[in-house]
Amino acid sequence: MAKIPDELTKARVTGAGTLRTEEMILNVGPQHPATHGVLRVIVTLDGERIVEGEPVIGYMHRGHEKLLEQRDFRQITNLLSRMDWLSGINNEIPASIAVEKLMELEVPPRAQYLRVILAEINRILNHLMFTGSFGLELGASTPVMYAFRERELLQEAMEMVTGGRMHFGFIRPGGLKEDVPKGFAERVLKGIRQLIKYIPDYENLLLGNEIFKQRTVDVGILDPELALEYGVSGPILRGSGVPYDVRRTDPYLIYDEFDFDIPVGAKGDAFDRFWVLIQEMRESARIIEQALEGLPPGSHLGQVPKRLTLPEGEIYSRAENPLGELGYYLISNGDAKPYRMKIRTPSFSNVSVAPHLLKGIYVPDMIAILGSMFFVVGDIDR
Amino acid sequence: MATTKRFPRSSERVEPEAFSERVRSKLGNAAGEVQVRFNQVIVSAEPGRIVDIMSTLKGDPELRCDYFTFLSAVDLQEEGLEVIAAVSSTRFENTVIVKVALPSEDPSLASVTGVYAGANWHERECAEMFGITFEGHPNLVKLYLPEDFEGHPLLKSFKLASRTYKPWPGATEPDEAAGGGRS
Amino acid sequence: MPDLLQLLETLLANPWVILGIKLSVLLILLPATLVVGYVELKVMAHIQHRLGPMYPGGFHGWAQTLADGIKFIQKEDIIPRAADRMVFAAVPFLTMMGAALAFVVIPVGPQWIIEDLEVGIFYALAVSSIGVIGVLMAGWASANKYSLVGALRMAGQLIAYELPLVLAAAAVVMQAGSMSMVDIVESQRPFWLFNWPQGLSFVIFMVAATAEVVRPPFDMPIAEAEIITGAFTEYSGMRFAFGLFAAEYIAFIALSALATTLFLGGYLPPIPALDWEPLRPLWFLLKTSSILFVLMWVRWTYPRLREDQLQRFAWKVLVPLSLANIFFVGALKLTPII
Repeated sequence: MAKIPDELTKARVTGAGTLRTEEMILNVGPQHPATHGVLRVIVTLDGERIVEGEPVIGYMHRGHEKLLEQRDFRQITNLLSRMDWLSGINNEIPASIAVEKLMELEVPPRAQYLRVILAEINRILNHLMFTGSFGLELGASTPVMYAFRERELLQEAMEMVTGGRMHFGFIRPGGLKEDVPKGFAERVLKGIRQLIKYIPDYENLLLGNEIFKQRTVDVGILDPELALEYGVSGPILRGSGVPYDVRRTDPYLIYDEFDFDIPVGAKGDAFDRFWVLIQEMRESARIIEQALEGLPPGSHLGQVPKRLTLPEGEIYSRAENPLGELGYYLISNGDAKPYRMKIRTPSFSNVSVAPHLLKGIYVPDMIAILGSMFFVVGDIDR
Repeated sequence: MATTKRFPRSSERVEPEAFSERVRSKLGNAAGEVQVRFNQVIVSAEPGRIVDIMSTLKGDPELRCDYFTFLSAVDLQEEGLEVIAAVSSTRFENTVIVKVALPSEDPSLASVTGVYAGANWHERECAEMFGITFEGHPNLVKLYLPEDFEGHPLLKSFKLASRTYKPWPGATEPDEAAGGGRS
Repeated sequence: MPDLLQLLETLLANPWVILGIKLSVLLILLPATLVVGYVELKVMAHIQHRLGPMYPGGFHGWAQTLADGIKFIQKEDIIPRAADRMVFAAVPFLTMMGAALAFVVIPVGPQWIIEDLEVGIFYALAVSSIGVIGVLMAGWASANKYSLVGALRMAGQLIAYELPLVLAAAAVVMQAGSMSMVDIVESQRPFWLFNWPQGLSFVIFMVAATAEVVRPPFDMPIAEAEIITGAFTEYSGMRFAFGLFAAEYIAFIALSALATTLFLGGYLPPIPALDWEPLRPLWFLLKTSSILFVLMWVRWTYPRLREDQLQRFAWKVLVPLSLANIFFVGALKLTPII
């Protein structure tokens, strides 16, 4: 029930003038359990109904773009993995691709495969996090524990390779920092198999739950054209039925070699967005299995000069992050540092459409909608 | 009910070279140079024509750049500022990057929020970071920075105070690092 | 054995022993909330594929809730400057008292009852809704918008759910022909474990009772992710522990005990052969615990509803259903079944 039933709005109109009602301004956040950090939403309330909701961002602005102008190309990787802290590897990849394209560096096939594997594992890690947290916001506290049970296995695999759990700093221009250790493939496969085995559990627990459907179906319907106009991408755009996925439309790495599907929603409501999120984990698992099978031997790092000095030039390099399209507009003036690096983050554009969805709904719907926008505040604010 | 499908690349996909031809002919004399770089179409434009260009890119049935990718700027110092806006066509699978040169003194540009509503936050960010005034923007207030913040951080003239005060503590070059770093 | 029985009979004839028993019912109430709280932690943990508290007290973390209680006592007591101090401070007493008073009429055995009032069920339902006044007071006195929204949700929820709750209980009263709790239990003697003519009343009563004690899926008045514990946003330390936690668990136990008495035959054993006086409290405890367990299971499985969906469900489904149920029980009353 996204729309207020007619009889309620009518009652309000006829009652106007006889009974004085006041609108209340409620400040949700920056500290609020449903805002994943420090997003703030100023909502104008008429009883439980939201007249208007305006997100206020910037509480976690760290000036990444300015900082990047002070760092050389080996150092920026570590900074970038801190933007969207749930998808470190995915943040690092397009930056390295930009450097490689400008310098015309060759990336060995093994590195390409490993990048795809790590990126997809990271996508699953991210999606599992949101699977759990969305349930939590709707009051179901059990799915988050189940999601973290599966997450831990893959998280361990990532830790085994990179030594880190969130900020990996593992992608280098030209390849990877190191090769993967022995036993990596087995461990990943174990995690993937367990995930595939338990995804039906999440589906039964949430998607098949009558109360969950009541809370999400027809809530926060996002029109595909509006979504595109706001630059919304990732599972949220695909939830609205647009099959836009950078991995398919503008293939980077070696994504065009793999066989995978793009799940899309039918209505664009919170339910569809969440449905897409869960299906994408299955597709990522498929990609990982194919990539592990085809993983070629060889070097993990191409021929990279000791000093990374880029030629003059500009490039817009993008990738499909777990949350949507991440892009770097890199301008180099021939120095060892970027002259300017614009970061186009998915969460920024995704959240900017929120005021349209936060009109005329109830307070609990706001939680369902914000929860289904799948954003990371570090990714909005950079 | 939602579906999972194998969506191949769009059947109407156009090669970037061909798409740049379309852009050139559709924009006509509104645009300056049109070129292709790394499979992306780059258009340079006069500041006065930005709204026309964006409307054509979005509305023309042969371009249909429906997806607003980003809008930002760069400080080129002596050559002034340059606003960079990128839009994509989900149907033809192409990206067009529009570049507009602005003077460093009192830069201003017409807002494209009327064409792409999503430019709202991007323009607000750009305004506070570079000091560009977007005329016709519905709500041009600061987005990230506090209301009383002075200066425009992404201009090259805005120095990072901490680095001026204290240089980078570690080795900055590989040769230095091999030699044990700077003392 | 006959000696033992005789001894018991003489003991029960002594008014001081009776008084002791009555006091003990009241005295085990607070520790019972700690036990139920601990069990809930463990049940939740096992449902969620983890162990839960394992360290406090040594054996499977049995002292966890005790330690929590001590922690709450040590915490700073904060009253917001804008709050109405008197009202703010009175709230925990009110919320706890309402629920605790209901225990006066709950028969743990035919003798193990504090007072077998003639209007027992009426009294129990009446006092158990006092707590809501406390919540409303908390919402208003806190001078916090979230609290206000939470308190109003609570008031709306109470009005919506009190009706089906009372109507479901009315069907039982019709069957028993009495409002005394002991009479109600005794009237279920022909059915022993489950009073099947009241099957529908039982379901309605359980749904309404869950809403009444504000547990998921009906916990909108305290929804942490939305309005941050609603009326209790500004409460901390002891006031929070008593006003919210202790009150919730006492009400939770009270309504489970009430449901046991009304529908599951109270202290009656599952089969007539086991009907032995000293064992009766055991049957009562077993039945109450099962209801508590099922409610915990529900809590950790379902997401929460939305306030308007709950209202719609109460007025459009539960109220008509309970009216139809009264009609059904009335018709059964004409037959020899009850």
